[in-house]
Amino acid sequence: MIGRLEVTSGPGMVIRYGNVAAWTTPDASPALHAFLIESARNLAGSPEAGQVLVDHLVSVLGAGDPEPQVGFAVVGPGRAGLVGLLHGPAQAWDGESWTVTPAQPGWARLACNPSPALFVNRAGDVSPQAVPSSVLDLEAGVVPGAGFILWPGDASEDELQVADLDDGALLEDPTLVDATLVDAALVDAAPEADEATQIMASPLAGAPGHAGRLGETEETGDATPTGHTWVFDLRSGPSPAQRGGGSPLPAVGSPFLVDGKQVLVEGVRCHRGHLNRPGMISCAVCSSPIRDGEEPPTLGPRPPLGCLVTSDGSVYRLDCDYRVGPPPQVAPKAPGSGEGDPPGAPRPLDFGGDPESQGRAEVILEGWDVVVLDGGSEVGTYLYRPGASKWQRMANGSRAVLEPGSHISFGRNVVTYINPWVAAPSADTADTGEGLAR
Amino acid sequence: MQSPVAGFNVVGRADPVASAPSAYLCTPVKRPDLPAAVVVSVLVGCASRRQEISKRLDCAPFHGSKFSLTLYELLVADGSEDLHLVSEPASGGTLARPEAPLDERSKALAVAAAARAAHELHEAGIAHGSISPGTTFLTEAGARLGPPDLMSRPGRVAGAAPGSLLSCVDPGLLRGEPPSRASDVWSLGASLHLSLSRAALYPDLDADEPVTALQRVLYGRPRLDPALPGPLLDVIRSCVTSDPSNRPDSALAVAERLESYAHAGASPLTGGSKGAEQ
Repeated sequence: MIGRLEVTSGPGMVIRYGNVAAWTTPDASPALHAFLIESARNLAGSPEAGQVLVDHLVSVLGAGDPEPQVGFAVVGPGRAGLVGLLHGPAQAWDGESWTVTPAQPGWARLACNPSPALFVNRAGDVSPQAVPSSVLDLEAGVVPGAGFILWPGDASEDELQVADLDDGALLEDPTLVDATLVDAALVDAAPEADEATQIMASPLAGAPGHAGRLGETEETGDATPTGHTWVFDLRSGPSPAQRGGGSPLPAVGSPFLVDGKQVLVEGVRCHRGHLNRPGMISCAVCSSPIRDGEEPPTLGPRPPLGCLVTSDGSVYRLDCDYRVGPPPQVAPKAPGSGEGDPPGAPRPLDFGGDPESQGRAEVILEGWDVVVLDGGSEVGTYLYRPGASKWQRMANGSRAVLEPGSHISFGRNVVTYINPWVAAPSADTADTGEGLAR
Repeated sequence: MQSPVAGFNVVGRADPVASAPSAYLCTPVKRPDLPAAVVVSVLVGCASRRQEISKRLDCAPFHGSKFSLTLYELLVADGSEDLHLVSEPASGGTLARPEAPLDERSKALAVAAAARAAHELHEAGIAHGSISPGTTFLTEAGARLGPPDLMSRPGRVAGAAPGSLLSCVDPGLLRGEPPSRASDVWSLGASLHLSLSRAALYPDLDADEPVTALQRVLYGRPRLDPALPGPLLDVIRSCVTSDPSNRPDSALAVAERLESYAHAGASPLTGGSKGAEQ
């Protein structure tokens, strides 16, 4: 038997007479509307109204589907609980499982004992938040609606308890309610429950479509009934601080902004204004020629100095210094708070695995040069310069200016330094090291 | 057998988003607030970075954009070191691996949708940085741009390993420049070329070692397929020109040119264009 029928606002039509409920998508024909309304009226008082209506619909559809693209659903009492039929793009959730319409034959029977409610709407749409105190409770008639939530009428007060939750004690104080528990509570609780009403009054429960933004709430570390300890809801819109959005990016062709501190270096500009390393004969950005001595050197913000390529193919841009190996000893941060290094510290070069096995070193930017500093460790830092025939270990605490094409070994991890701010080799000779020497 | 993603019943494999190595088509368990079918991408080892990653997604274009893939939730399963990103399914696959063959017009419109999504991000102050056919998803409602690379560590530009679609990366990023409108515009043009032509922008890139491949992109010039229709070739050429200031003013401009082409019903036989950067 149908208790409450909460109508979901949106396009479409919801019908209810007695124990028969129906819903259609907006593209249903007047003939289909008339059929469903008449059927619901006629069967409203029947103890097996749902079964009769479903059986009739199946026989009609078996002879040919007049509106295969239209989504609709009918629900009513059967011999053992609620039965129904889904047609076209429609879906139903009974608290335990989904029913969706298969492509063939284009409709599906529904037999369920909702726990606690049956959600019906268009396939693919997010099911609405159940609001037990909603005034959108259809007692009889035909109204616009994108679906419905049906609460069975024989729910006893015993079923209103929320003690089945993993940690029911949390619910005693609504302000302590973990937001994902709210969803579960609403699924497991019946409509008139005082507890459920309390939960809806929680300040965490107001976001449309979902209960809250757990990523911004205190984490209790307790798992939810769905097995998740942390949830960040992406459906309730950006946080208030982000709602206005950031400033638009600079226009195409604008000088790029370098992260971190800006360093001025002396360079030569191409006729389009790109700053290049002195001695360059063509611009590393636009390839336009730079005639030696034509333009006097000028000071300008240093561009990034190329990239480091790790042996797994990851490319890291050289716009700041990098650290290899374990981080300096600092006070521990809260779990999940993001990167562990303070602003301005060298960025970690992440190889995965144990940082201790990578030795200790830094790759730093000095003027137009990229320099590797050995930090002194048993693992050591090794260099393989272009044209060399073997690896060379750096002395503890020593430094070396890298030449483009140099390989550096930090333990078992090898990176290659690529720098466009030199005369470029052709693509065909790029892997031989020819033309790389400054 | 226990589901690999807690709280979801796995139905099959799916194309992952945000550079996740794996993803599953799932039905949620006891979650009436989620659709019946979702994709859960596994961001391996990222649970400890959940605040950083959720902050990156906390902006308007990731919440209900018509052109971006719909994202529902980020989750950490009990006891897991992984982060799960729940998104809408892409029943049509991706532009890189469509479930069914796409015609030229559909490909142009898919890249146009990605361009509109990129423009929304740019206007919100965000550069995507990893637009490619693999991040352009084909849903029942049309093409959608997936989220950026969320697993990437700060400073990481791209992957140069075989199969990483390095040709869609603006050489400027390989010089160390940060992602920008211009670099995303490059990626849109390169994505269109990659989806339309059998000829690679940079021949043999996939066969190269990472460093060689990277140098080929950094020091070489893209080679456009002259057999492509002239209007599309013009769009691609304008996007992948080496000087960023000569590229289209915005991703929106790219979208409008592609939509104009697609809606004009242009034929694939309209001919090629001479003068491609060779």
